[in-house]
Amino acid sequence: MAEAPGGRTRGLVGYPALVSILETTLVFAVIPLAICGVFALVTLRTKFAGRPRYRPGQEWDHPATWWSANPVSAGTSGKPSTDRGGARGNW
Amino acid sequence: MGTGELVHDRESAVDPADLPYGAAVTESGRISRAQEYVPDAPNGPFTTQQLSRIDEALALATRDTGIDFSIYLGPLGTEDTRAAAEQLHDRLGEQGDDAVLIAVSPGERVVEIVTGANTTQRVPDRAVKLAVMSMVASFKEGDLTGGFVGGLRMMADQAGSRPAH
Repeated sequence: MAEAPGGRTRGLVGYPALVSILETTLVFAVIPLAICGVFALVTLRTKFAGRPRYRPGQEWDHPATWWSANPVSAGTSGKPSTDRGGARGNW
Repeated sequence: MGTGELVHDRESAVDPADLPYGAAVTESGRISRAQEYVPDAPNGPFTTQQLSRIDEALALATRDTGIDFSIYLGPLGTEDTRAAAEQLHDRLGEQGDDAVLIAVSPGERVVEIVTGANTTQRVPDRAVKLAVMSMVASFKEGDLTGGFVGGLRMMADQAGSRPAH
């Protein structure tokens, strides 16, 4: 055992045999938490910054909208079409 | 009073302390006021990018095929959603013959597509059903915009280009 500069006892491999509890916490708790925090920040950033997205099953209380590429056709009168087709679906 | 001299109405002079924020009395006595410019942001459930994607898909589908595609997004009633969608289609009047209405109610989790007399020939029910299945797959994931764009693209592909008269 040799006395290392700084008052620590060095083992044969040259690694500080005496590691303080503060250093242990720093290496094994603070650094992993910091890494996790960085990833959480990057992944959750858009979730908090953007508007809440629609999820199936949630209430829809937005006002009804009707988009058309041809605004002339909206609100026109005349005999409505009776011969119709189409399909429906649920989710 | 010389020519060009400014006339000051001292009687109705305003105290600068009474003016609202951003206002000031100019040399001529006029009140100049600056107002903050607040750009319009969509207040619905969609972002500007999503709205522009829907708009582009609608415009392209309508222009390529000559069919009036339109998307209704809102409540369709709890009992008979098909009847509600057909009532909306009635409101198109004669234009309904050349229209395809996509009615989506996220509250009831239902999508109804109504085709008119002429568009049924070009987009048969089987193709519409396929588009509905594709849209439902997107809606299940909560992706309304992707469902609209995909459904429109599939029906526009099925209808083909605008017929030459």
